[in-house]
Amino acid sequence: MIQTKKSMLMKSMLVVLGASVLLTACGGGSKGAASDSSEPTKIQMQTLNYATEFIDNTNVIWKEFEKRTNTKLDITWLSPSTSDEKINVMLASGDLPEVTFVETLLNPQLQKMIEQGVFWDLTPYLKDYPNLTAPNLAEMWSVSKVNGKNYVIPRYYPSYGGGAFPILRKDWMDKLGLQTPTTMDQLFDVLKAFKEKDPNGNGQADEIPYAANPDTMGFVYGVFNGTQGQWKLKDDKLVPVITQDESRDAVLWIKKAYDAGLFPKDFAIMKYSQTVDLIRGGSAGGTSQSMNHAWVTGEKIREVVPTADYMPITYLENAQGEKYTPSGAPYYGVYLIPKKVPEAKVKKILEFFDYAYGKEGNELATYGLEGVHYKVENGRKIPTPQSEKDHLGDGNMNNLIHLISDDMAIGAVGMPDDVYNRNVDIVNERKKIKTPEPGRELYSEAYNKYYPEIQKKVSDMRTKVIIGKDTIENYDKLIEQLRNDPNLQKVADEMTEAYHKKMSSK
Amino acid sequence: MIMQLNTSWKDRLFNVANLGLLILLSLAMVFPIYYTIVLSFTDSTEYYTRDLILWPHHWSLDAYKYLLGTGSFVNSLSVSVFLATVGTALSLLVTGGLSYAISCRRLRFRKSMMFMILLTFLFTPGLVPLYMVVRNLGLIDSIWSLILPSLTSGWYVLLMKGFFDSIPDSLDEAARIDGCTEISVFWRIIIPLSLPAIVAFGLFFAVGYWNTYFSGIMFINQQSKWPLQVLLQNMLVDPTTMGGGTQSVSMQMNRQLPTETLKMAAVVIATIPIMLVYPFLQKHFATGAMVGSVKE
Repeated sequence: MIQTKKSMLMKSMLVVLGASVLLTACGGGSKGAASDSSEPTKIQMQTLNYATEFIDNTNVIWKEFEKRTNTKLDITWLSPSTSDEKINVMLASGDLPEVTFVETLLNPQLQKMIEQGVFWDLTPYLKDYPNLTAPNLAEMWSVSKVNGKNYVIPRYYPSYGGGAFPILRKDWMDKLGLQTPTTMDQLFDVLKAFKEKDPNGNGQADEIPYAANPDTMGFVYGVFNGTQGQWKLKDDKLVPVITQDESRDAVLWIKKAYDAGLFPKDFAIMKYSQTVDLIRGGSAGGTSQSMNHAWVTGEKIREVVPTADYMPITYLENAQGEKYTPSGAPYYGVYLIPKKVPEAKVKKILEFFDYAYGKEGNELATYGLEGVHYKVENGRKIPTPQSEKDHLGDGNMNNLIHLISDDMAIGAVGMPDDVYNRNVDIVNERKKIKTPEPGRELYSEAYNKYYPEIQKKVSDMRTKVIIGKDTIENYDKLIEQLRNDPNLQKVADEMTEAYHKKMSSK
Repeated sequence: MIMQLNTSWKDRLFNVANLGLLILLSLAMVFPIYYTIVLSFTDSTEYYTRDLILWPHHWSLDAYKYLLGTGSFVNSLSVSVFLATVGTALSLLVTGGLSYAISCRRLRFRKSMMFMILLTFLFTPGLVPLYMVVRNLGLIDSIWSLILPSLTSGWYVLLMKGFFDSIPDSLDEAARIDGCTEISVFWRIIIPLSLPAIVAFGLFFAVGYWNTYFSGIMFINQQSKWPLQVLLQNMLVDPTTMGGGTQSVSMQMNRQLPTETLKMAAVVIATIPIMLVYPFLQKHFATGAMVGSVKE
């Protein structure tokens, strides 16, 4: 099977080679003139779309993109809640669009296909595209390398500002004369004050200090361990965070907070949307969200409590004085071009992305046309009603190419200047903090095979301990057992190996 | 009646307890439906600020106005209606025809046809081959991709064959002697006689088509052709339950979540039409469900 695939590949490569020789021969050097007069290139792509209503090729922005890049776009939007299954079936059946989007490089199927040489290695071409190789994107390209080569066009996403981290009601803190917390103890005290000192002033103890569920408390483990993700670097080896003593402390902190009544009673079974509903209702003091929710959710709170001020905190610090703030790789999701696409078209596709990563294309995708979709006031782009009609702002074209700016994670449609400027200040402060994430973008087969089950066991146990359904002694027993678990050991070994391989190839 | 016969206190206690338990049980079943309907008519601000809303202070049609105003919801609704009507009709035709054919003893190769149907019971090809077949037939993004692959199932064919088997052969013979052709035997004798079975199977198919979800995800890319269940999944399911990595979660969190009242209104609109079908088919259902259960 692989053999036939390979020979097919060789044949198609030959055809491509022949075609490109012919093309260059005919082109005769006057490249600019040739591309101007040529027919629009048809490009087939597929990507995620978070919008509630997807646009099609009748949309103004879509057409504008086609006009300016001389392309004919055939975009398939995938809905994020169902994309996983679909992408895997597409990969398995070999039914790949010319520009294939995959959410994470760690997809096992994808890793295999890259090894087999199904996708173009873009490394030699990139240097011809100034916008793609702009200095501010350098880290994005280097982090997304596989075996030292650029097989993928990463979809930009700012490193800072995203991630689930506390956002608290500043108006409550002000009313009670509290400072923004920077340590876990202070956070506990602030939440406790929310509970006891009636910040909403209705004379009843009806406040829910923190609208939490087990998922939204993930940051606590990060703070106590001084690391992000599931792995920690110790003596040049990667060790799983779940078995660390610091994680035990984190469980106990959350348990203490739960016992003090700082979380909703049905903490263990709350869904994320329910935690968001609680905070929207104005009766909760905070929850874990990305920074743009200062307005996305904050605006909703104001419908109920007009004076509400929902403020992201900058960082939290552990007992060792290590500061923690969420950050990630400067991209989210990657595009790949299968080898079945001829080389000439690969260049055309890169040209398209080069335009979209440039200032003009980038702003077109997010804000639309000046004068039609937005007006500039005080240096900020204010959307017009037409913007909503053409489905800008909430997704669509800017899901194909994210805005290359922190605004992606900290801004929101209609965000007032004061909230926006404060977010800018906070994100600039956050950028000074580099919480390590040694396990980022490391691929291990053993991890895919064993880790999810282990992790589920641990997080179930954590939740049980927190709500008092199980004892910390049993938790200790489970962790002790995991420390001696050969499967987890194998995962750790493979992760360490992948880590060193990545470090040495940089 | 029983109450009058058994008047000892034990019996009465039992009856009261029994009645209470059953009322509680039915409340437990009815309440979620009631709550969903009430919430869908509640003002969204009120939903956030009140705990348990048994009767809203402010009634509001906003959620319905919003849903019916968005093109995608109406589109999806019409896709689902199309599937439930056209799909059901086609499925009945194919299932009925096939099972009648293999129930006729005169048919040659009947055994091997049966064997092939049984084969589909034992071996299912799996998702990737199915996807490739649908793609190579050029059905991706076509509504027919939601109908053709699921036109019938071996199980239904066997069930229906059981029903046809219970129609006496002599009836068929008599009809022929009176001058009926093959087709008119089917249309004028068999179909009217098996109406209960057809209605029952029609309901199975209709519910199945109405609930089309997985093939909708796999074969339909354009939002305008999504069946209702796919749209609902996209609207209602909690984003954090999806995706693995922390960043994936954070991206999902950037999504605007629809308000709870909107979700409830969507559920109501999606459920009511198919629920309305049941009462009308109820009378046929009892006979239909007996299919194959009585052996002579």
